[in-house]
Amino acid sequence: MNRDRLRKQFGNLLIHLVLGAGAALALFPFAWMLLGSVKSYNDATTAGFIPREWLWSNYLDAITVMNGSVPCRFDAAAPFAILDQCLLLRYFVNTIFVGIVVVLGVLATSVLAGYAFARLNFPGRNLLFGILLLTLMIPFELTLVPNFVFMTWFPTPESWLATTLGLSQEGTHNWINTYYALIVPFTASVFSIFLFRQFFRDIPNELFDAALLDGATHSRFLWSVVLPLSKPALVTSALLTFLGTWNALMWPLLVTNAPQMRPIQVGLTQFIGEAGTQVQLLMAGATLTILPIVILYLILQRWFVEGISSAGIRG
Amino acid sequence: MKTVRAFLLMVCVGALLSVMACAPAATPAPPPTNAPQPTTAPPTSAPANTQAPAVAPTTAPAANPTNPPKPTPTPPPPQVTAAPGALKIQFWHALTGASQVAEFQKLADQFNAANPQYYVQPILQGNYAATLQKMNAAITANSLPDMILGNPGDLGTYDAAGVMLPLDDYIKDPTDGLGALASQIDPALYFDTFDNRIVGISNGRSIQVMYFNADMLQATGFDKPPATFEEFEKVCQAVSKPPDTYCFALVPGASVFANLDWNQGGAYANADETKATFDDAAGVATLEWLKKLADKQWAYIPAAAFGDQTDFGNGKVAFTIGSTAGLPFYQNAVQGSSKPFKWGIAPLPRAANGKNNVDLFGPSIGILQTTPEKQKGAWQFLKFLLSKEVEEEWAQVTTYFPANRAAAEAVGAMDPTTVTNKAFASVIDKYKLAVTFLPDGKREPSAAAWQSVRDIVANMMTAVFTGKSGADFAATDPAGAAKEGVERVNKALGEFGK
Repeated sequence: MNRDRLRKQFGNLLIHLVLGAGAALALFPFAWMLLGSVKSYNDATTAGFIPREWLWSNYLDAITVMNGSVPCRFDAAAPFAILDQCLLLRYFVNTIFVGIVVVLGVLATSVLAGYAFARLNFPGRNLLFGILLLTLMIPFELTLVPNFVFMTWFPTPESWLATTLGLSQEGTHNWINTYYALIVPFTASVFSIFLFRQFFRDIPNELFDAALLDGATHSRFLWSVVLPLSKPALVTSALLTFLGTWNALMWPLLVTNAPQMRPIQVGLTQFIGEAGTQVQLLMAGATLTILPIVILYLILQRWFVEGISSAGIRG
Repeated sequence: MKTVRAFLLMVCVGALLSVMACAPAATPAPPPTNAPQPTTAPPTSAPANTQAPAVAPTTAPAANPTNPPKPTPTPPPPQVTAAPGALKIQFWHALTGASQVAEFQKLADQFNAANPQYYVQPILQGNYAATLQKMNAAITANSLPDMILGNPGDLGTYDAAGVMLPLDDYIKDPTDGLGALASQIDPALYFDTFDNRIVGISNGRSIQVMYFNADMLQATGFDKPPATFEEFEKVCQAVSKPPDTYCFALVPGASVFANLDWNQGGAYANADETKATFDDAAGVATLEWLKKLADKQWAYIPAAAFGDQTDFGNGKVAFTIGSTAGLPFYQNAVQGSSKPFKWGIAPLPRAANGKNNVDLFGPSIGILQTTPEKQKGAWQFLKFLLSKEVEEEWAQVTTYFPANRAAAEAVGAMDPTTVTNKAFASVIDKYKLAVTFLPDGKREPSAAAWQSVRDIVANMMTAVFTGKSGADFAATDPAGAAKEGVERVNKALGEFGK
């Protein structure tokens, strides 16, 4: 009995050691970033792990640089003017706004598509789903130019409407340098469709049969039964989508020209020069940038883990 | 009820998307106009090489290692807003780095204030690679800016696509041309010519130099940097104590290889720059030299970006090769090292009977074919950037060498104690030294096709240095690698654009 207990305790210890090592490995880059953010340039490029000098002013410097070296001034008479004048704030607002709308779009399209692939029987369902999954294999870089060209083809709805109704003689504007280009191409996510399809397939058929007996339609069943049971998948999809939008750099750079339209990641590029990098300011900027995401993750952590495990996806 | 709520939510999302319409919208690109007829291009040959200058280690690091001069700029004045009716000129650039972005915006603001009929908007498009990618997409979509700053080779790529404006007629225009400025600019160094048309003008170049740890050399009995490959090897033999200390941190790249090849007496490419020629004796000797450094464990390839700078600052390596644009970064890295040391710059080593060559770097500025009015405005701004006062200011922020000779002389004569830009003041002695290397300036082939083969050359160097063949490169022996490299490069050059 004692031997069994000892063996179990030893097993537990071993598991915790391995998990601890894994956690330390995962946390190391964050620790490096946090410590790097308070080092001097010299410390960050030449010294060890622990700062020789703790320079909290790096955060102020990072904010100044990300703001284009222009101080933010709030004017009570025109409070929203700060969004045009204070670039860092504008970057954050843009990123949050785009992130929220993209998440809403992805959830709307993915839930419907995932439900269709999971619960509706129609000819070619599996083939279509297979084709959909195939698109995951196409690298983003390959679609960059064609997607950019698309953005120049589409007129913005308001300019199209104004021109059509004869309210404007300016002609239509394309989507370049608008939120449309930052949002619309990302409102459908194959990964999220896959996630929801896997999740919805695990919902027992008995629930659907019972709902059917009560006279529920597919939309009623989806809204009243499936979605309340799918909070982990919803949270997972939302979080991953938001994260993707938050980290986007190449596409926003490509489709925007005005700094006022750009997201927070663009601010970080200010620290990387042709011949060197301001490592300590980059770390401080990166810390500021990931802070909202970390807070969001901590709040939604339970559902996120549940969603990942129940959809059978491992990182 | 819930369905109604869902509907309302969707309506809200729709409304939200409509609100986004308030965002600034892009102005459709105007149709390109006919470019002026090409005229005779200025000579493109490099100036005659001179003897290697005597190079001595320069100043010791400052006393306070924890408070180095920051390249962070002083806040510029608020941005000038466009005057009513001002013609907007979009200037896409790749000037990453806070100080350069801020300074460039400041210069645009100055120009806009003095020329209210124009409104130049500098727009950062990421680094050079990102800018190239965006330009390629923009060319496909005909959604182009009015001005572009990029590597000379990138300008060649855009020119091959037929979107660049030849500047010859603008330069020679009797009323609005470069005028007196023309005599101040060396066309061989600062003009980018493709198909006998000037397509780009640089407002500042940098050069490729060898950074050396003077204290490390002195400790092993060398009082000056090696001038030849043989001297370099002797130093390496003395200073290398792997894994603690290495002689040379090699970052494989086409520029490093081209410069070493030139210094071995090679040409790298044929006269009309249509084919690579580094499978000759000089090219093979260059690769043999690199292999020797690797076999003797005198050199290594740093794993991280700018790892050579970091290791240099940490006193782990005696030599690195880099652009003079990195001078302030090296200064910062060394200044706060736990064991500060004297350091300096010198031309890359050459063959004993050979001559020095320094590879010229630095971006160029081009004007896109838009409307005559916009082209004129863009030309005015380009001339403004080349003016003496602006060039002087720009050189201090970027450590580039001004195209304008008068500006270069003024910067060269600056007293370090009176220079207001602290980062520049800390490296001004080395900057002045680098100026003396400029007569040995030489440019790599910059036609668009050559940009596509740079990775092949870097992979060739890596394969020989590491002795590992792979999908990127098969041969690992110097002669075989040079042969394979030239074959691959020439095949790629031949297929470019097809």
